[in-house]
Amino acid sequence: MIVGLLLLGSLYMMGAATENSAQFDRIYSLLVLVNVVGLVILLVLLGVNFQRLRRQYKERVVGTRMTVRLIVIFVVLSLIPVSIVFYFSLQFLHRSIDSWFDVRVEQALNDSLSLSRLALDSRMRNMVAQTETMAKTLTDVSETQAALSLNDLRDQSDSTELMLMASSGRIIASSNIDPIIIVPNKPTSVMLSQMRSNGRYFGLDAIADLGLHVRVLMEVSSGNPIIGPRIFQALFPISERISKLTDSVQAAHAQYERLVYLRGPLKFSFTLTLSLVLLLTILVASWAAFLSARRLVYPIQVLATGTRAVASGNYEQRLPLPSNNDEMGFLVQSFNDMTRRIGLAQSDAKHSQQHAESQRAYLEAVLRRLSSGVLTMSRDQILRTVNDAACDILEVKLDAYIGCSLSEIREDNPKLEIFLDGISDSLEQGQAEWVEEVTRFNSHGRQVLMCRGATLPGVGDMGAGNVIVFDDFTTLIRAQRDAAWGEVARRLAHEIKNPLTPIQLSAERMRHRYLPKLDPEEADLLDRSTNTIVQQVEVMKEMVKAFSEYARAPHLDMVALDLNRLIEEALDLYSSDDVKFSADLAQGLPKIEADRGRIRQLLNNLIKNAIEATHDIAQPQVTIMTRLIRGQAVDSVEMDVIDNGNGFPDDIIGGELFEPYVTTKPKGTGLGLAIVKKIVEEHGGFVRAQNLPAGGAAVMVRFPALVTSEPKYDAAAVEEESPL
Amino acid sequence: MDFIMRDCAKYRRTTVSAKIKTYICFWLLCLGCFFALDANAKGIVIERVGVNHDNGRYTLDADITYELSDVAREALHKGVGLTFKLAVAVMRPRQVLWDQAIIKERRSYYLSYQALTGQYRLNFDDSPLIQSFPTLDSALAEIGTLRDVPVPLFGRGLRENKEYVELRAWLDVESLPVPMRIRAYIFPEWRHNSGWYRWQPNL
Repeated sequence: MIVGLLLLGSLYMMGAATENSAQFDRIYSLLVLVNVVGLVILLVLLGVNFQRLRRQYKERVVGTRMTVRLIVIFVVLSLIPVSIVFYFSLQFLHRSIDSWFDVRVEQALNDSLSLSRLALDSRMRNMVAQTETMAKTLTDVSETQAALSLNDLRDQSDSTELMLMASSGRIIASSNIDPIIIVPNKPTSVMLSQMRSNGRYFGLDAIADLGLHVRVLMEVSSGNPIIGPRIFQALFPISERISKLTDSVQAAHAQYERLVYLRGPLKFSFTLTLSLVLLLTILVASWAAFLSARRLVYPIQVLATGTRAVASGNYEQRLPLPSNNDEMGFLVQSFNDMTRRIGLAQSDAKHSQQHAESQRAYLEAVLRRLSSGVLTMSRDQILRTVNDAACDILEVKLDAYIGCSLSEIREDNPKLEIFLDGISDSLEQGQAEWVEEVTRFNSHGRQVLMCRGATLPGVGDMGAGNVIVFDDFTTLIRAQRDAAWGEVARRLAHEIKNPLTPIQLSAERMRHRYLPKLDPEEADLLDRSTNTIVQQVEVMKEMVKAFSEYARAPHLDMVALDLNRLIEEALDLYSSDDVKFSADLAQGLPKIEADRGRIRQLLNNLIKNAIEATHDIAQPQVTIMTRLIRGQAVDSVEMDVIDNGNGFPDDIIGGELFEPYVTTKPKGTGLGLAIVKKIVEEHGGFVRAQNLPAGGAAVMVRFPALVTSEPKYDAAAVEEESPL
Repeated sequence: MDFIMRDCAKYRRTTVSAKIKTYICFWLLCLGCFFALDANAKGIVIERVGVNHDNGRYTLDADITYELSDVAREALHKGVGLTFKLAVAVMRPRQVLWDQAIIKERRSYYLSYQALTGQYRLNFDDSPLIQSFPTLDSALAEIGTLRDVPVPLFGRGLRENKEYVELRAWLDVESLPVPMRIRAYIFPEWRHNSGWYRWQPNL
């Protein structure tokens, strides 16, 4: 803008200088230079901008096309009127300049000049004639008389100064009308040479301080060879009036001639100034077009950038508001409002999602820590969710079956058939809530599952379905049964133990009193009968004792025990038997926290049970193995008592084996394994039994290992925990 | 792909710079031709120059040939006065910067044509003397012959032997009427310039 104003100012001064303004006359060339340099700078700037625009156009930068269009419109809109003004101004200027000149004026001036010339010529001829006359009188005048002669001649003529010179240029004598002037006005060498070639010279000569004069030079020939040829000069004044008139005519003619001559250059100068104005206008308009187009397109470019940012998911970007509060500003403001609202909505959605995720994580955590198994299914019985407890209870990794139907799960896992059939039937009935008890067999035997189902409402993309919560009641039912049996045993022992001693004492008294008094035959009968009573009472006492032991809640003296050592001590007791005992005990086994007496009783019961199981085997063999089981939470010590007997009957090995009064032996009380189980449970362990494929049976007892600071286990005897 | 793009950008830059170089070369060539024409326009030639030193008085003698171009003659006969300028300077060489002008003197002559008398009038800037000449050549010969032109300041400048004297005579374009100046700058036939005539005075 400043450059444009400066250029416009300099153009104005150029125009003024062309019109002969003395003010800008001296700096005209500088002004032209300044304008040309300014225009070159503008051209370079525009060139750079055009080049940049061209590159942006090729790179398809947003808003470039609109910029180009606006620039073209601006330039065309400015170019058309400016060009029209330029054309008509030029025409008007040329015509105006041409109108200054008139042929008649020129002719009149030429005529006046010719007239002046004729008038002067007439006067000059007269003066030349006077000079000739005077020269004739001086032909034989000596140098000493020359001054007097010249004074006389000057007085007689119209001349103001007369001078006689030798041919060498030496002044012989002179006479001036003004006595103060001593040095005469000498002719120039050019005048003298003209005089010599033509015999005479005359012409107008402007003499300083004296004005216009007619100078006449004439050669004066003398017959006297001593005197030789001389030069005579006469100066005749032109009257002041004639001088003024001739000066005026001369000046007017010269000025007109100069004007006529300068007509072309004047047109050229004005055309140049106008062209510079045109060029400056176009360049400034182009520059303004660039600036305006950029300013107009900038908000659009900003909007495009903002739109792209929004499209790429960036709702945080805020566009800078344009300085002028116009429609574009309103648009940008609206865009900012929109992105802000979208951003807020997005933020809310994200918060909701995070909340939902946290809720989901919370629910998952709850489900994971839930001891009850939880399954969710869609209406078409597709497994959606399963928790860890469900997998543990069902002993199947159901996580892998999420998205599978119940029939697919059933095909892959036949052992889940009873459970799946049970819940499938309930699901198909379509009740809002249902309860179903399912009894199935797992690796531990019979398992009682209490299943509760409820329909789930459809939420969002999660369609409606069902949730099934089930618990393993096997342990609870077994505990209830064990408690019942314990009560029975306690009552039985209490009710039976009391009358047994009087029965035994009565039988012994009868035997003692009546045996000697009876005849031998009757005495033998009494003896056998009382012996039978006493023996049976003893048997009953043993049985009552066993029951009471089963029923009582012993006081446990928990100490750290080395199970291997206890096993070795127990085996020492049975070393004399016919059964072959062998021990495969893991070295470095961690100790267990247990009551020594109860564990010893457990060992005795198990070993006795194994021996009894192999009583009809040719080569009975009992093996006791120990090993460490690595668990996720706590390690365990496992002891396996293996015999090569006939094994347990299949009908009781599932669940009733460890219940009281279950025995396969003719003399068994049925409490051996029940007590084993009781002792194991008292110590926080568990027991299971199984028949071996190669024959025989194994009872496996597992105790939690005592936690020590740095356990050193035998790597060979360590196994990973596996479900029993 | 990226290196291809870089190479393309480099090529584009190279092309643009090559174009700019071509433009610069073109304009330099035009400028060179312009000054070559200027050099060929021998309107004023300094034939001889001498500085005389006599009893502390310095005078300058010079023979300069003035030859006006046709356009300059035409302008003169059409009433446009021509101003010729003469510059003489005592220069002292310098190692780093351009040489220093110790003494500078100028004089100018205004030559005009009197249509009424058909004479050429010569005005001198330093004196009220006006001389008239019947022919142009005689007027030009008058300003081209310098005899015993006093240059009193030379006494202060020429103290060491390393100084040299420069003389230049030229037609002053800035004294022309404004409409003629641009043309005079543009067209070489208006360029009457002797250029600097340099010599080492041996005093």
